[in-house]
Amino acid sequence: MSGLVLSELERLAALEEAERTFPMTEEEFRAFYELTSRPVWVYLTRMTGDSRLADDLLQEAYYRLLRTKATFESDDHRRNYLYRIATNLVHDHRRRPRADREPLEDPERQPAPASLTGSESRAARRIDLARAMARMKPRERSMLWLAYAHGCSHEEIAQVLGLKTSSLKALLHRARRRLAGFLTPAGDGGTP
Amino acid sequence: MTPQPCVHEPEVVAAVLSRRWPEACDESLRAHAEACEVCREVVEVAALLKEDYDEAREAIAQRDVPLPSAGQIWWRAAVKARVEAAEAATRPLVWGYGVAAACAVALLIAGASAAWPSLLPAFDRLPSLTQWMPPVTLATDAVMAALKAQLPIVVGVAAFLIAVPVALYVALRED
Repeated sequence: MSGLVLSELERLAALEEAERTFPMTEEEFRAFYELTSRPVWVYLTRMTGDSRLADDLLQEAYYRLLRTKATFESDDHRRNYLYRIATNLVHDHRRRPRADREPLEDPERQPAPASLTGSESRAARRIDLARAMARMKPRERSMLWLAYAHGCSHEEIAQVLGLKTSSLKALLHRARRRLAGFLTPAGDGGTP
Repeated sequence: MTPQPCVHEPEVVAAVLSRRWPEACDESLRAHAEACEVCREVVEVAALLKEDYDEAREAIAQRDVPLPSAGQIWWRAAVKARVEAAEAATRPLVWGYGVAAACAVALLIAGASAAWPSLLPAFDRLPSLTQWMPPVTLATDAVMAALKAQLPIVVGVAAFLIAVPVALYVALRED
């Protein structure tokens, strides 16, 4: 953030100003945040592979949502827009020079001991999935996650990723085939 | 070859995500999925991703650093918006400083050019000062002659080259 420092009075004025200038009231925002923050954070974590980075991107995503001039027909529409912002933030982060980026290995995603999860095979499956997803292209990761973890419709995913619905069906099909290929014991994901 | 999605895919995904798959879902859908390659693949991928999603959501509660509350996000967004608005408001002023600095440099150059004829006699005495220095070469003479003729322009260009980056730095720096 900027080097400008606000006094307490200015901070209070900032809150009053926010009520006037943000496209939703604080109460509406609280309700929307409670509904969406966890799924969005999980999405950001899985797309970046870094839960700490996901914390930062989550805050930035909501900030951009509050500053947008766009109007929304419903909470679903607003939620899709939020996912779009989150996706763009992940892409922006990926475009940065590699030295600026955190390592992709997420310390919070180490497999839990089998005694805690109750199943070694479940832990092994999760590791396989993480490895397979890491081999997918970023856009494929996003569409697979939105389709099969969040249950978004093709139209919603197309809206989030800025694609045509007609193209999305084929792209999703190919991405799923590739992921399934990577998940098989000798999987190479087929031809890209 | 263009991939062919199955029309039952949305139903299969919905059944997996709502945990109705396989026991609590429609028998005909289960039978279809066993026979359909696409739906088998959808079940495999969706079940894994759903499991991963649920696990990640559960892990939020066990984190050392909890997710920020809605109130914190709202507060930070309000303060950040205020800071950005303040920066946006002061930006024209900063540009004004830059333009003023550039104008001052231009005036300085104009003044130096106007005063140059009266300074020429003093410049003519320079060779007498150099008689105490080691013998000058032909090239040095040529440079001195060129400088004598073009000094206002040289001074102007040098001042401009120095002043413009400084003015731009002042205008564009963030703080």
